[in-house]
Amino acid sequence: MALRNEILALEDQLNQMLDRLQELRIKVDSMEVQNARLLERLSVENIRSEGLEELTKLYNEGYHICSTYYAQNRNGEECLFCQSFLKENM
Amino acid sequence: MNINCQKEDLLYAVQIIGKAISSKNTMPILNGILLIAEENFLTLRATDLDIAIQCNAPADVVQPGQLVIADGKRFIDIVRQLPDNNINLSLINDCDININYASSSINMRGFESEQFPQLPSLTGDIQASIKGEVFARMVKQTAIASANDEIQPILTGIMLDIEGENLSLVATDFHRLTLTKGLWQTQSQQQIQVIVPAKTMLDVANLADAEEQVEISISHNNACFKMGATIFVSRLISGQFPDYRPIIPKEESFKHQVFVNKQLLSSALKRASLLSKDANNTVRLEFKEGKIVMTANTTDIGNIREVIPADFQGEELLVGYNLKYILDFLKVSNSENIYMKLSGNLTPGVMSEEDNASFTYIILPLRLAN
Repeated sequence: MALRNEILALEDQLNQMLDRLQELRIKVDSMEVQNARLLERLSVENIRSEGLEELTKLYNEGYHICSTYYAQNRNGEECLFCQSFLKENM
Repeated sequence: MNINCQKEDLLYAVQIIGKAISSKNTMPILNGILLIAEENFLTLRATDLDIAIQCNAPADVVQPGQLVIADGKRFIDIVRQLPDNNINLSLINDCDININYASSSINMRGFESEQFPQLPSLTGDIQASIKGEVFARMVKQTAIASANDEIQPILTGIMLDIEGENLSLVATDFHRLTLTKGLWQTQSQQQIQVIVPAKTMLDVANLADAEEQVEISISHNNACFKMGATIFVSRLISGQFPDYRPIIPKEESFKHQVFVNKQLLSSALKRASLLSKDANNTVRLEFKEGKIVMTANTTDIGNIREVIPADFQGEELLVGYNLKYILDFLKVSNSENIYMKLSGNLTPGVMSEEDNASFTYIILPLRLAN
């Protein structure tokens, strides 16, 4: 009888542990999804920031970055549309 | 065809339509002027296929008919030199024309009128009208920022941003931008943007009678302007006009405001223009309490320094401008005083009239060398 009670108690503990394990599994899955999203966002922001840096550099070197005159020489004059693009995306 | 008319009526009409006579076109008939005599007037028309202009001159039509005078520009020169009295135009040999004046005559070669291009349809999707004075002011103020860049034809035009009864005209050469707003009368509720060559718009504006209505019709590839006896039809410029709305600085971004007499500023800048001969016509404006200190110099010519009284609010600021851009604004401004609103010495500033909030001129400063 004592042995049977001991087995039942062990079964209870095992079930509790399985429940706990299941909860942890769900939490880990959710954290993995969140982590993947964050990594993706970080990567996009890096690319975007690098792109903007390049465009700012190109503009400061004297070239247009607006869609109408992209990569054409500004001949020393400032451009309303290039500046507006940079301002909007900073 | 046989008609009698007065020289001044004929001269008025040929001078208007002369703007549409092609000088480079490979189709010989486009060097000509179409004459149509019917009812009580002589209709004259010329086209280079981009624009067509038609004008009616009062005439006594003895016999209706039509023909094309082959050399339109020469015909205009001849009309200019005719004596100031009655002129008779009559068709001879099927398509030549006799110009009879006093007891003399000139004979000019012609073409049959069937070969002359038809006038495009005058009924467009949008039909509107606007008072000549308002239209002329809006066009003349907007056109100052249109470009001469043939590589980007859209910038040689004025964009009509239409939203029902609201009409905005926009032009830009990418260093400055003009925006004028007005109302026209229309039944249409359409929202549409079309680009019309600035040159055509200016021709129409210069011809518009201040008190009369300009009737405007817009179709998918033409804009038609009708003023009394004259009709202008212009091909629209195809392409996407750059989005101008983000360019307009927000009112709260301005940290400096200048209020100055237009005449004082204009006179000072005209003097400075004689001494600023670099590529950008640079003038330096130092905004200080109660004044603008203007300086310009060219090493091998000399320099100028002027103090212009002005009402200035904000921290002192030194800004470089292409003085031609400021003078362009002052030339088309109708108010006694003007405002300049600035947010910094490298960011776009706004110039506007004292009593007219519907005209906005956005101008970029120059980057000044130390």
